[in-house]
Formats: sequence, structure tokens, C-alpha cells
Amino acid sequence: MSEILVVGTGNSWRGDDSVGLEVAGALRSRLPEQVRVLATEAEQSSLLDEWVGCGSVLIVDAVHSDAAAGTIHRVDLNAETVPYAVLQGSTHHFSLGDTIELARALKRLPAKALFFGIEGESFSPGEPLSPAVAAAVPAIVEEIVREIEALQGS
Amino acid sequence: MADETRTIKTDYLARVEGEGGMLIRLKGNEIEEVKLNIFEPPRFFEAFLRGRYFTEAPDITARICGICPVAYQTAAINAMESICGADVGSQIKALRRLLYCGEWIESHALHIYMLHAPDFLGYPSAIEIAKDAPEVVETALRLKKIGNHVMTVIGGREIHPINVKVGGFYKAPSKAELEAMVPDLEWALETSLETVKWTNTLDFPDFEMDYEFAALDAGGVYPIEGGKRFVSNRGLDIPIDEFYEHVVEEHVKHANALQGHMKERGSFLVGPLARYALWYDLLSAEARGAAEEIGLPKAVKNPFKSILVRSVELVEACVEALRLIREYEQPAEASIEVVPKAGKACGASEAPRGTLCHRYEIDAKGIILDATITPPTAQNQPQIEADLRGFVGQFMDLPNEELTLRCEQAIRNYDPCISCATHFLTLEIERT
Repeated sequence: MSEILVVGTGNSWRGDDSVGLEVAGALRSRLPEQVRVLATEAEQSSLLDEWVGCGSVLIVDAVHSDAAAGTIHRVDLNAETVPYAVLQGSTHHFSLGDTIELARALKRLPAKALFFGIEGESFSPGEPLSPAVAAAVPAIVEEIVREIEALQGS
Repeated sequence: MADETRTIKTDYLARVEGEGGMLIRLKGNEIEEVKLNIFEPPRFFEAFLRGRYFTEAPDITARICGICPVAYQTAAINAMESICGADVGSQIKALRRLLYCGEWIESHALHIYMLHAPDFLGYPSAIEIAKDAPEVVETALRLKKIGNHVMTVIGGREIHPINVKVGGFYKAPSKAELEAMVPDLEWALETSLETVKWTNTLDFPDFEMDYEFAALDAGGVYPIEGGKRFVSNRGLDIPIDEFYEHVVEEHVKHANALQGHMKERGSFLVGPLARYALWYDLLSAEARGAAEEIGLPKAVKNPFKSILVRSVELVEACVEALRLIREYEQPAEASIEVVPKAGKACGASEAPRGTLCHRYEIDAKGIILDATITPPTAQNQPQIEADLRGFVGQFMDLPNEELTLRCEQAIRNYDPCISCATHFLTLEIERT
């Protein structure tokens, strides 16, 4: 089985932007050891180096579009381009949307690449997760666990 | 063009929470208004720091920016060690400078190739460059990775380095650990030298401004990780502790931001152009040679050419990293004990995008009573507005679309630290 990487990204000090980090934290105890879980606040383009050699990558981040807070967006990155408006929710310099599209252009996107976006509503400094977003965390954790079980079974 | 309003969103400057932006209002051939709001000051962090223990400041402030955590940590450490009268010794200082070189390499490579170059090459972003010339973007990514790796080896991890503290480091790397980075850094140096030549092939608009350049004076070395004085090309020469006596921050209505002005002098510029103009003679022979080879003058007043100067500084960071590794001797102790003393001091460092100043007041128990943080972009924002006024005044006849692109580029010349904020950058030019 090729390596599976789960990336939760965001900014831990910016309200709902931290949800990707929360999900990654919750997944650590739920996934087999051979699945690498990375919670990162790093500048986004550095993610390209993280998934080198991985067969599968699952990326979790907060997003900001017109959907209701807590809505989970699932995008198969090899089947669809990034819905850019959704991914503008990243608070990072070279955005996650840019990074994914850059990986595609450089043919550095793993064979299986899934994006899970959780709709945020408040990105104010120092705020905790808003209730609707916090309530979505268990659901997305279960969804990712199921995805990984399916990947491991395939 | 009468009554025409254009709104253009710049995607790769886009951020959530749409407060940020720029508006230029023209009436006939007159510039009525230039409003820029691209930066959110770290007020939350200033408030959050009050009541915390003084040794927590580096870790807390490192969270302000994903691109320059080392700059924030180092400025905080410089301030705290100044208050407490601590001297960490030459090898710990050398390690800090090396860590900082990693951040310069990472940040400058990102900005030169992936954020600034697309403007000059006529691409909307680095993604489109990657489709046509993947080798250019792969070069940038490798340079960035080498910078990140330097930060990982010394700082523990490249984002929000965890090995850094007031008094030194939790663990000092061995000489062998540092020497293992030499081949990569030698490649980075060669690539940086090529980068200088490559950026010189770009086209630049014929535009200059008469700047007051300001940067730290690091006492005989090119300023990177600190400096005891803040100086300018127009006679400013002050101890860093007097920073806030000369740089006043004004709250401007159109921007939810504080903008820095020099008292009785107005806008000024911090960052690569300023460091280079003030401290050209302190650059390494390799960096000066690279500048001379492309005919770069000792003071560059065309802000669009900041990409050239940033490339020269990329060379400098690589040369300096290699020198520091060559001369490194692992200290017996990775840190010294720093005992808190009641007092107040400023600490500064040269973030890739310019001077970053922190001021703290702590009590005898080490509790932070007050914190003020002035990032480089807060200082540069009035100067960016001045550049825009100058540029639009000179190039008013350009079609709206081209003028808009050039104005976006004029902002990007500064590598503004919008990543600390979270804002959409919407851009409007109104003609009536």
C-alpha cells in the first residue's frame, strides 16, 4: 500500500481557520500508525514537498464561500479543479488553492487527492471555533476515517 | 473612460474577510484619492501578551506571521534580552543569524519567483508559469525548501520554530548537522547568482521615487537578525529604544490600520531597497559582484526593481549561511539563564520585508505589562500610497486595465505582509 498523508491546515489563532488543525488532531488517535497525519500552519506551497512519494493525500482546511457554517465540501482533486472561490478561505500567503493548482501544473498531485473544506463563519483573531464549525468536526473525522479505510481496502 | 469604474480582484493576494483593498480615484487628470488598506496590525497579539511571562513572547509573536515567524521571535528576544541585560555570546548569535538566513532564503525565493515574477512575465500567477516553464517554479520550490530546511535544523520546525527562546536555544545543533546543509546551500548560492541575472532580464517601468530609506544598523555587518540603531539616508540615527519617539503610528480612517510616519519627515521605506542602499558596502563580495555584474547602482530608487535587490539579498543570505556554518563552533551551553528585571526596551530585526520593531515593558517578576509591535508593512503602507500617487501621476494615460495591473504590481514591490491579515485585496480605480 502506498503512503497515505492527511494534512490539516490553518491558523490556530484565527477562529474557524483552525478547524483543519482540529480535525488533524482528532484523526491522530483514529488512524493506523502507517497513515501520516500532519497538522500544519506552514506557508502553503511547502505542502508540495510533504506529499512527495505519497499515493494518496487528504487535505482539510477551512473555507469561506456562501454555504452555511459547518458545511463540508468534498472535492476529488483529480477529477475537478479547485473551486477557487471556496478556497479563498485560506489565510496564507501562497494559498492552498494556488498550491493544489500548482501541484497539478507540475504533475505533483498524488494519484488520489481529496480536499475537505469546512465552511467557516468567523476568522477573528483569538476566537474559538464557532459552534456550527465545532459541531462539524466529528462528522468530518468519521468521513475521513471511512475514506482511508476504503483506500486501505482497495 | 468617463464615469467608468472598474473593480478587479487580485486572486493571489486574495484573503478572507473583505476589508482590505485599494482605491484610486481620478478626476480628469487629477488624483483625487489614494486609499490603501492591505494590512491589519497585530493588536490582538499586543493585548494577548499583557499579563504573560516574558519568555512566552517569542512563541506567541511567532504566530503572527506564517512567512516570517523567525523575524517576530527574534525581535521579541532582542527586546527581552535588552531589558534583562543578557548577552548570549557569539555562537548563539551566529545560530540566530543562520536561522534568520533560512527565513530570508525561503521568503525571498517565494516572493521573487512565485509572487512577483508573474507580474513581469505577464502571467496571472506562478501556476501559469508552471505550465509553460515548470523549471522556473521548481527552482523556486527547491530554494524555498533549502531555506525551510535551515529553519528546521536550527529552529526545530520551519514554521513557528520551537527551539528558540530568550537566552538562546533549547538545543544547539552539532557542527556536523550544520555541515550536512552545505551542498544544498552551495546549490542555492549558485542558483541565487543566476536569479540575479534572470531578474535583470525583466522589463521595468521607468519610474523612480526619492525615498527616505531606513534600516537597522547592525554594527558593521549587513543587518539581518538585529541592530542597536535605526538609521536612514537622511540623517536619522537613533538607538532602537527611541524608535517610537521618531516613528509615530497614526490611525487612518480608511484603513483599519495604524500607519507609520517619521515625525516631521513623513513616509519612509524599510525593506530590501533600504537595507541595500544603506549597507551596500557591508554586502559580501559575491553579492556586490552580482549587483555590479548587472549594473545595479548602489542605491535603487525604482521600486519595481526591488526584485533585483531581493535577488542580491538572496545571494547574501546564502553566502552568509555558508560562512556561519564554516565558522560555527557548537556552544557548550545552548542558552544562558535570563533573569527578569523590571524595565522597558525595544527590540528589532530585519524581516525579509523590512524592519520589525517590538517594544515591551515587564515587571521585576517578568510579567509583560505592555507590548507594541510595528511590522514593516505598517511602516511602508504610507510609502506604498506615495508610490501609487507618483506612479499614477506619471502613467495616467495607460489604459485602465494596464494601469490597474501596474498598481497591483506597485503594491507587490513591497512584498507586503498581508499574510498576517486575512483579507481580500479588492482593487478599484474610479474615473469620473
